[in-house]
Amino acid sequence: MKPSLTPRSLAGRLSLSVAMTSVVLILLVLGTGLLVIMQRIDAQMEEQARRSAAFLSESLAVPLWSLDFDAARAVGQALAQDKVVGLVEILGARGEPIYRHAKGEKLLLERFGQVIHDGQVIGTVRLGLNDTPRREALWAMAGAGAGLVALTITLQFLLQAVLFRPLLRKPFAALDGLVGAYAAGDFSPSPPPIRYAEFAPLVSLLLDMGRTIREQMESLRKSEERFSLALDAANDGLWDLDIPSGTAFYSPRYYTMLGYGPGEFPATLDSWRGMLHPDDRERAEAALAACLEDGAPYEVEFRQCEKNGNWHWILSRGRVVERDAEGRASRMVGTHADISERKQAEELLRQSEEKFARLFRLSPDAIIVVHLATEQVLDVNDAFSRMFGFKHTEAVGRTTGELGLYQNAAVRDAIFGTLRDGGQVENLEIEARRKDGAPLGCSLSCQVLLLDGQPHILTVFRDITETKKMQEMMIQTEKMLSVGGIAAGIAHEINNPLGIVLQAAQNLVQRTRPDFVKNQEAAQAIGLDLELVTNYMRMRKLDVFLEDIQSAALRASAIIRHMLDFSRRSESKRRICDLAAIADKALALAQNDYDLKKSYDFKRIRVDREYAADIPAVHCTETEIEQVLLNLLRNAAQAMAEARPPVEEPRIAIRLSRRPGSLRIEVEDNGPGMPPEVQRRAFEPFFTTKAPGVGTGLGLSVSYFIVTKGHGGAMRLESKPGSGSCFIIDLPAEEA
Amino acid sequence: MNDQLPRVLIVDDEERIRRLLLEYFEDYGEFRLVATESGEAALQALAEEPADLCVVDMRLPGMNGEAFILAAGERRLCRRFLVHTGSVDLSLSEGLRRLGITEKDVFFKPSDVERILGRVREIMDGGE
Repeated sequence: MKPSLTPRSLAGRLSLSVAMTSVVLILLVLGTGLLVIMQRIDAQMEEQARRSAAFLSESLAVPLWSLDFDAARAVGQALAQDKVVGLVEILGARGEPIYRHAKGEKLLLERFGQVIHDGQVIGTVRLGLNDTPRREALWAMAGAGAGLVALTITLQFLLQAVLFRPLLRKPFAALDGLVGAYAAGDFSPSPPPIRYAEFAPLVSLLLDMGRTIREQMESLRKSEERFSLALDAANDGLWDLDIPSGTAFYSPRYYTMLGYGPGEFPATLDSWRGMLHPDDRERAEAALAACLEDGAPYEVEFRQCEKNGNWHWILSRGRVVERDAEGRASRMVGTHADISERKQAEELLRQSEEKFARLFRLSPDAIIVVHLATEQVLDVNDAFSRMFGFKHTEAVGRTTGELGLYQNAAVRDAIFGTLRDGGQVENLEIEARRKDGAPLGCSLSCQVLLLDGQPHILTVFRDITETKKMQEMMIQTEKMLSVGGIAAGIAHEINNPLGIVLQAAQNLVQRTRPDFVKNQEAAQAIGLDLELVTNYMRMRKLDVFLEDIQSAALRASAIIRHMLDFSRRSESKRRICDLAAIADKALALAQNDYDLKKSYDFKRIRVDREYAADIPAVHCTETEIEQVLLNLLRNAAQAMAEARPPVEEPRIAIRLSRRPGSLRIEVEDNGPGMPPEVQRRAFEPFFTTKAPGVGTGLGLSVSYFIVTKGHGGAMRLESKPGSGSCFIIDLPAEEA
Repeated sequence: MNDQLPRVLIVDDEERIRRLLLEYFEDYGEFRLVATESGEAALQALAEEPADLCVVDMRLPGMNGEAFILAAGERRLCRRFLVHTGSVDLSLSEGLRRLGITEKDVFFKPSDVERILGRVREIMDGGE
């Protein structure tokens, strides 16, 4: 059945049907009634016609007999008055017409009568009745029927108006409302107020449907929410690409990831292309093409331009979800993940790895990596090769035991034990051994770390020879400082009694002098011969003893003065000095030193003056530096003088050179050198290797103090027994 | 004692040093000698009679040597001063230099008494 274009009103149709039925019924009833009425009318008219004919026959008997035709006509006329009567015909005995009245109408029935007088027919009458009564009845019936039909239809419409609303329209409106709510997206409306059983199945069906839709919607919503939460949580942007049109849906995050507001650029494949980093474009497009072509998994990392012009690393993943009939990809869905931080972290990691690799390579400390289990060396750095004398190739693959890095194998075992027990070793001082067997003082730190999942030991050896030297120097400095401090404190206390000793001795000398008037007077007073006293004193060497007392007091005082040199400050006498001139002056003094000449002729020593041309200016106290240099020259000369066997070609080199930020003075001899224990104590106050009385043991310590404390410089010595000593002084240079 | 002889005041808190100097100088009979153990006592002695020269120890209990010299010089109670000190690195202050004291007038203990005597005589003879 074809649906009609204009929907018909169900109510209208219903009303029409009811109305038609009513009309048919009414017509049936009326028809039946009409038939009954017609028959009755027919019977009545039959009767009327009979009676009227009889009446006419009777009434005409006389006139006709009397041949009073007028009277006969009057009777006829009278009869014709009746509207039912359509034909009145009076005929004489021979059939001559006497009266005729005919309206020309269709006659329903005709009656003939004979006028009889005395048994003799004197005329005939013809009476015809028309159908007026029937027509009247018909019209009446038709009128009644029309009225009934009209009434019925009116009633029908009234009924429809009155009843359809509550009975049909309202329930339908309620159902309509229900469906409308569904259409509007409300799937949980309240049940419609319909009480009629006929609607119950529909209502429950609709409500069920609503529930189902609601559940499905809910599940869809949840699913979408899950999806969106997942996207949010992953902080991913979503793209849904329509391949044929090149248009897409981009989720808000897709935009915000690049610093744009949602929808700020058109959601098209071209936008995506346009924002790709030139270096990544080819790769990204190739990945996309491969995926579209044969469904290869699409996963590619690329940079895209942010709104502010920066490049943003993105991981794009997706797959083709729809293909057309020919198998061409038509739709593709995927995500954009923000991997900038990861990329940054990777970059940092890479940098950090490189940094560590560089640190490993360039570290001034020796570093080796050893497998914990096999104890094989995996790697060593350059410092290791330098410090221990093993080339990289010599060390790698062997164990530290085979290399003999540890003087004491037990120390090595203990370290491995500690590390295997999960401990670590920090700043452990050990005696290491070089390839050539020379000992090496090291501070060692190790830690276990995983390299490719394997436990390895990272060991750092720090050469602490210098540090130890420094430490010893510091201790020495402290020692001397305390000596200086004590000296300053006690100098006064000692100088006073020394003053008493000296002056008492001088008084003694004075008061035994024979040429002194007061002495003579006093001697004379007691009868003493002063000459004899003098002789006696000379004989018994009392005069020498008095000399001894005096010189000893002076010597003690000199020692104290030297000690005080430690703490003496001399900045006030500082000026810019010509070190070359000072060195030459010190050399000249040494060469003319009377004390030195007694034991050694300085002229026999070859002196090499190696002064660099560009030595910087130095702020110093000339006399002090001169004193230091003289001291060193003297020591060198004395050391060579005392050397057994004698030094064949005694030589002293004085070198001046420029160092970064300082001037270096070196005084080197090829004398007997110093054994390590002497080197350690060389700068110590009162430490001397010279014969008693020859040196105070203060020369080097005072020099050390002049250089370090007085001038902010550094002083150290290098020496090898048998091949000479070298003193190295660094003085801070003036800014050039 | 001859009142015309130059008057020399020795200030030192160490009794033996005072005495030894005094005894030594006395032997020559060229000076009128006084010795006190503190700056305060020395100022008092000078107040009684000014001196021509003072030999002053620097580290003294109470008023120190320099303060005494400055006070005595200020009041013109003494013409010249010699410093006789137990410390090793004395540097002369402006005030002391203004009173005419130079390095030649400073003697570090233990010092040769003859040198002190020599300097005293030099000054008394009008030398600088």
